[in-house]
Amino acid sequence: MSKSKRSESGAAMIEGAFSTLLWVPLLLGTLFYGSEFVQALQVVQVTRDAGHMFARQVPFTTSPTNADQMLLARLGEQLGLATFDASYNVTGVNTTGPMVIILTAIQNVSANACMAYDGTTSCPNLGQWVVTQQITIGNASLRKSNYLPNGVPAGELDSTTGVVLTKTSGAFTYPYYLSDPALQLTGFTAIPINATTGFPPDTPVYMAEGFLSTPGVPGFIGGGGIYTNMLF
Amino acid sequence: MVAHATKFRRARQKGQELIEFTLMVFVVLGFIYMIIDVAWMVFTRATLQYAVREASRYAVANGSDNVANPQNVNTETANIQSVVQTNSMGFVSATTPLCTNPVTTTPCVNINWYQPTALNTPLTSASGSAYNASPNVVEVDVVSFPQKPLLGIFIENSIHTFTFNAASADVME
Repeated sequence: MSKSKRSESGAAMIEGAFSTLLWVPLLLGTLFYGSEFVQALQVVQVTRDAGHMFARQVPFTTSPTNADQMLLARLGEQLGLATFDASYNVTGVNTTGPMVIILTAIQNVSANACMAYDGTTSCPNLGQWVVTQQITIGNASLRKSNYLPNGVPAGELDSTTGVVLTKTSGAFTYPYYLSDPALQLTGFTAIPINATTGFPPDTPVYMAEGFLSTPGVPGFIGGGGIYTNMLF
Repeated sequence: MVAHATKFRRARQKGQELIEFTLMVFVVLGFIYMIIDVAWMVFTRATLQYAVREASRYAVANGSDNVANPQNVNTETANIQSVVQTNSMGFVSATTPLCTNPVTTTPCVNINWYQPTALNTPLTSASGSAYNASPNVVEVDVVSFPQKPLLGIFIENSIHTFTFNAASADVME
């Protein structure tokens, strides 16, 4: 082989290596985003189904083995939301898996609602969007609600129904959401309140948030997740 | 003499190029198949998901207490099954049966109604004749739908079959 031919053969190898650097990540990225898209569709559907049922008063509870959560486990079993027995029957919600659904009932506190606080039309959460019920289904350690990043303070939710508890102070018994600023939503501006021409205060709004943790492609795409939220 | 050597070298290079090309064709075709197969699986899964979502939407809007179009349980079950079939791009056929409990034949279409307070106990004919009414919950599933990668066309028995489930639920309106 001539001198020039030998050097050309080395050049081809280097060109091959460079083009591999380009198309292998491109290919992996295509596959990764393809699977992310279909998972995103599923996350949206499970979250929407759960949120719509929650808004229609299906009595969801906080227990991962209760019947209501079993239904959601079946809906999200391909997303890792379910646990199974040896015969591949769904036995409950996977509380250590890659998915979480957060169902939250919220409302805007009116002056009338504040009367329960101390008999006046003013209370600490007057005019604020607050949480009145929250149920977390799945792996709660993955994520808190986008609008309540610190979660509900301990001891303020009913352990079965997730409804915000009441507190007695003197002659008044009122729910924590009238008095505790920690139950105010952060950055929630989706619904403008207007008592006469728009959305009235004290009306419950149901929010469903879903999050699926995804591993990414080691060395190419960092792990992240798919998040969705919707209001009913 | 020089011309002869050049001719010989060119012929040898042509052989080498042919071998390189053949090797690369296998690699490139493998990648192309992989992309097509992943897309095929994604398409199947998304289509089944769409079909059950449409079916559950149909179910909640056409229960026995619907004013415009009241349907008894058996009629509605048959119609829901048909909606799944219509929206599944041919994946779920007319011969795909309804699921039995326990499931004996797969794939199958599972349609169950529940009371909101007992979401793990499907209602049956023993529960009354019109349990497809508000505020009960309906669940529509496609159970264990098998899908082989397209490569299975060529090497049928050595390709793993994937199975997909798709599920949707909603409250009767």
